[in-house]
Amino acid sequence: MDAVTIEEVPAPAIPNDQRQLLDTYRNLTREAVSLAGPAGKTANASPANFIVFVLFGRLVQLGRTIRIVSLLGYAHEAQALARTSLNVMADLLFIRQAEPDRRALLHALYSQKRRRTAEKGRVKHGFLTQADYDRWDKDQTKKEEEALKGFL
Amino acid sequence: MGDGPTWTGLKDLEVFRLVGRGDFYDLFYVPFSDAVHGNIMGARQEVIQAKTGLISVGPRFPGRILGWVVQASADALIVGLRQIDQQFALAVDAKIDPLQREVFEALNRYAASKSFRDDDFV
Repeated sequence: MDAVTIEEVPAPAIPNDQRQLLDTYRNLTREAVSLAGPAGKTANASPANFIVFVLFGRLVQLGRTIRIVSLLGYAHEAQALARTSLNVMADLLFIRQAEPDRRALLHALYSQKRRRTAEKGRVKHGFLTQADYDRWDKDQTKKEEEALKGFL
Repeated sequence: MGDGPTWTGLKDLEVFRLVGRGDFYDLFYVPFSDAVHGNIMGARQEVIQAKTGLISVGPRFPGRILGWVVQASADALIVGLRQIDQQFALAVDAKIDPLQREVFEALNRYAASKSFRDDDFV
């Protein structure tokens, strides 16, 4: 059976057509931030405003990262980030579809539950002591409650 | 809040269908998930390269995949922008339309480009 080797290849220049597409994409992310900017003034007015604004911020950050990773030649790997963008988009639509304030709070509180599950895994496998977990959880919970102050 | 694996209590497919974006699920979410999960579909490039005796790691500038990634993430951003517009009553809808057109036209040009046309890897 023939051998197979793995070799690192030098980075070629980005093809011009790919750069042009990514330039248009950069313009989109910049314009989106500019158009959405005024929403920040009332982002704290309700749970839905807050979470919708937060999720939009995530979409922009993901978009910028996707562009940079793709500029470097790793669009295949950027699929993972694009999938996350789709999840965020679906969450946004789901929150706004019905009972937006209630769904926004549910979204926020679920992240608290996931955070605890992840950290308990670290306690279970000896990467974190129970005492450190308890301290950390208290601190994180306080920060989350401050972020959602007035909504709960 | 139940003990479900997602905050909605629904599967991803169900959420996409419920919000009327089943097309995004079929066109993009499914193939992107293969890349995320590192299954054999996500490793197709390495499988094909391995048959030649050399797996080359580094920047590959995949033509077609770049088109799908930009289309999906640009669409997601535009949908998000429209949601912001409605949630906050910004009345910027008329400014979003030309942005969307610009991306659409860029993607059409890209679909006819050398990078996209010459890439037989999907």
